[in-house]
Amino acid sequence: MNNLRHVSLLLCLLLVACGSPQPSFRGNELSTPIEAADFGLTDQHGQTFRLSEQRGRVVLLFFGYASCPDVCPTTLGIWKQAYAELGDDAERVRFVFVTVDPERDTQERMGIHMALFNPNFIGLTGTPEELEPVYQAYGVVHEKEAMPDSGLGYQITHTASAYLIDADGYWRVRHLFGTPAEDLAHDIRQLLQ
Amino acid sequence: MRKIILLFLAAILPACGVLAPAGSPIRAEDVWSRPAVAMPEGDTETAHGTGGTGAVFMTLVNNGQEDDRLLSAQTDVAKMVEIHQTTMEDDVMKMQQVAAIEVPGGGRVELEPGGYHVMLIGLNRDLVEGNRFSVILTFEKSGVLMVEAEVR
Repeated sequence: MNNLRHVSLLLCLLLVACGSPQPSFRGNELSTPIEAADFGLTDQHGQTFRLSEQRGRVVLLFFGYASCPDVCPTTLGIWKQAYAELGDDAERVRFVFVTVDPERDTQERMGIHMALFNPNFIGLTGTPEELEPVYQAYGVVHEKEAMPDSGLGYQITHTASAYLIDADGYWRVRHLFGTPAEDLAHDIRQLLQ
Repeated sequence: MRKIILLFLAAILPACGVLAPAGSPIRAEDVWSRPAVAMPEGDTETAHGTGGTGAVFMTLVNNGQEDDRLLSAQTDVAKMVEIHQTTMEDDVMKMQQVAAIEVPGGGRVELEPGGYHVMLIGLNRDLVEGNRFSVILTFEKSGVLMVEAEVR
């Protein structure tokens, strides 16, 4: 009788140990999750968005600017598809676009720009003093370059990948520019379980 | 007099077949554009203010044997049109204006996100999904080609 008890106990332990599978991601998983640095920036409605207030939600973070004609709208377009694929799960996700061009990207402009893709997307701006520590914390390259011969005036060289932060506030995955919507949705779902 | 003029025209016009000549070797496939916002009214400096840039992508196919180059583009929907190239170095995106895009004879060139694009500066109307607008492309050898872009 004792033997049977021991065996069943052992079996229970084994089952528990093998219970929760490790999430597998299609994006580049960080070998060690990094606590995502907190920040508070102004969204397109004039409200402060604070990362530390997003516990329980998954955050997808991207740094770009509204005058960017190619990489940024492409990413936002992919986000739009990912949002649709998530269905009801999208409620627990925040798609956050932080500007690297605070000079031009006012609150109002961010509102108009986000609305082009999905008004639920959050466009954040702030003063250069508020934004600089965020760029640094996330290792975001952002270099303004004059383009005197172009009607654009200037362009901003910037990091083009997105940061996936889990519901506990840890940065888990990096998604390179061009990651398809279904991969984003897949990885987000991994973190919603 | 009339006959002379007519003969003259008959001789000249075929040689001037610059506007979308029937035998143009270049074709543009899958011409599309991203949603974008118009430049606000009263903004005199095109995109130096707020709003107003967009991009047009496409595949250029050269069915001729001669190499050709896309030199410029024009459209009604934007004040200025330039050709730009996005380059990615590791993770970082950088964009620069280019003078032309080579379209090799018998070859094709993609204008796609993360690469070449026709850049629209100073949009005078919003580009909303489903909209269509014309773009006139000018090539070094084969001249002018009119295409229609779809916003998606």
